[in-house]
Amino acid sequence: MKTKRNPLIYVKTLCFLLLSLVILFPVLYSFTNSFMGLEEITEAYSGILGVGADVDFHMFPEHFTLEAYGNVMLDTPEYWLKFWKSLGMAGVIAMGQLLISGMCGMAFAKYHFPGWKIFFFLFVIFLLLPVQVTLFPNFLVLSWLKLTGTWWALILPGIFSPFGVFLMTLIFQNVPTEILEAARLDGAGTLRIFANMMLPVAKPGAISLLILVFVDNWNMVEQPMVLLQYPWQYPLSVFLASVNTVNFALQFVCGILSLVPVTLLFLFFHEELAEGISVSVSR
Amino acid sequence: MKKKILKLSLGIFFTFGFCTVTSIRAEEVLVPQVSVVRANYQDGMFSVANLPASCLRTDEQWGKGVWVAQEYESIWGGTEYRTMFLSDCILEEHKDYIVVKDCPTFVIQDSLKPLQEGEKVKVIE
Repeated sequence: MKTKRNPLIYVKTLCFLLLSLVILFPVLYSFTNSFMGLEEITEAYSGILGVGADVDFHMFPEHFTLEAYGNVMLDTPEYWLKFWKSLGMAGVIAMGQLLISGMCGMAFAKYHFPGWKIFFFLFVIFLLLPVQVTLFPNFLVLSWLKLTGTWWALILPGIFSPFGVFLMTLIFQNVPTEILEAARLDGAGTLRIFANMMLPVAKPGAISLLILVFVDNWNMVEQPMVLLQYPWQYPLSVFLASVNTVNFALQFVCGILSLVPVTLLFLFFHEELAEGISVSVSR
Repeated sequence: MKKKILKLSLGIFFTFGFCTVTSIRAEEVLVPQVSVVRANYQDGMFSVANLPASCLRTDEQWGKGVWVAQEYESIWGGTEYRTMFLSDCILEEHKDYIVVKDCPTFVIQDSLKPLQEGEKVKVIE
C-alpha cells in the first residue's frame, strides 16, 4: 500500500537545498578555482587588481592543474608552520577553556555558594559583550603583564571566557545531584568528582564546547592584530588575507586547506555537538 | 562511520605532516646560503661604498661585476632575497677593495654553489 506524501515536504526540501547551496557556494567556488593555473586565473581575475579586462567569474577551470596545491604544500614551509602553530594554539585554548569553564560551571551548577546568582548574572552580562569591547581592557592588562607581542596574549584571554562557563553551567545543571552525593559518600574529593564523574556524564556538552571554542579561535582575527606586534607572528586566520595577492589560486588553496581541521572536527563529533547543544537548550 | 572518519583524519594529517617536513627539507636543500657584506653608504647624498675585493666576480656573459641579494616582498609575507648580477656598478678596483656605486645593500661575498640570476637565497651576514 502506497502512502501519500505531503507535497509540502518537496517544497521544504527544495528550500533547504537552495539554502545549502547559497551557504556552500563560496567554499565550492574556492575549491573548484583552486585547480586553476596561474595563467588562467590571472586572465580571469586581473580586473580585480585594476589590470586588464573585466573580471571573468567562472566556476570550473578550463585547464585542471594541481600547480597551486604543489606551490602551497611542497614549495615553502611558511604556510605549514603557520598552520601547525595555529592548530596548537586553538587546541590549547579549547582544552584550557574546557578545564577552567568546566570547574567554574560545576561550581555554579552544584555548589550554591553565597552570591552565586550575582556572579552568574555578571558572567551572562560579560557573555553579551562583543569581543571588540573587551579587546582594549585585555590589551591594557596584557601590557601590564608584559605579554603583548607573545602568543600568551591570545591564549590566556581565550582560556578565560564567559561563554564556556555559561555553557558548562547549563550542561552541569542537567547532571543529577544524586551522582555527586553518591560519589562524595564513597570518599571522592571535588577534583575526582569533576574529572571522573561530572566530565564523563557531560561528555557531549564538553565536546560541543571544545568544538565551538576551537572553531572560534581557529578563525580569530581581531585579537592577533591588536595583541601581537609583528605580522610574522600572526596566526593562519590573519595570515590568509595577506597571502599572495597576485596569484589567486594560492589564496583559494590556502583557504581550502585551512577548512580541513574544522571540517574533520565537525564530521567526527557532529552527533555529540548536536546532543550537547540540545542538552544545554533543554534546560 | 566514526572509525572511517578517524582514519581519514589521520591520513590527512599524516599527509600534512609529510608536506611540512618535505617543504622544510626542500627549502634547506634547494635554497642556497650566501654570505653577504653590507654596502654601507655614508648618507643619502653619496651612493658610493667600499667593498672587499672578494665580492668582485667575472661572469662569462656580463663581464666583471658583483652578485647582489635583492630584497623582495615574499608571497607569504616578510622578506625574501633573490640574486642579481650587476656589471655596471663598479667604479674602481683596488688590490684589497672595490668601489661600487648605486648598488643594493647586500652584496654576496661567498657562496657554496654557482649562482643563477633571480634565484632565491638565504642571506648570512
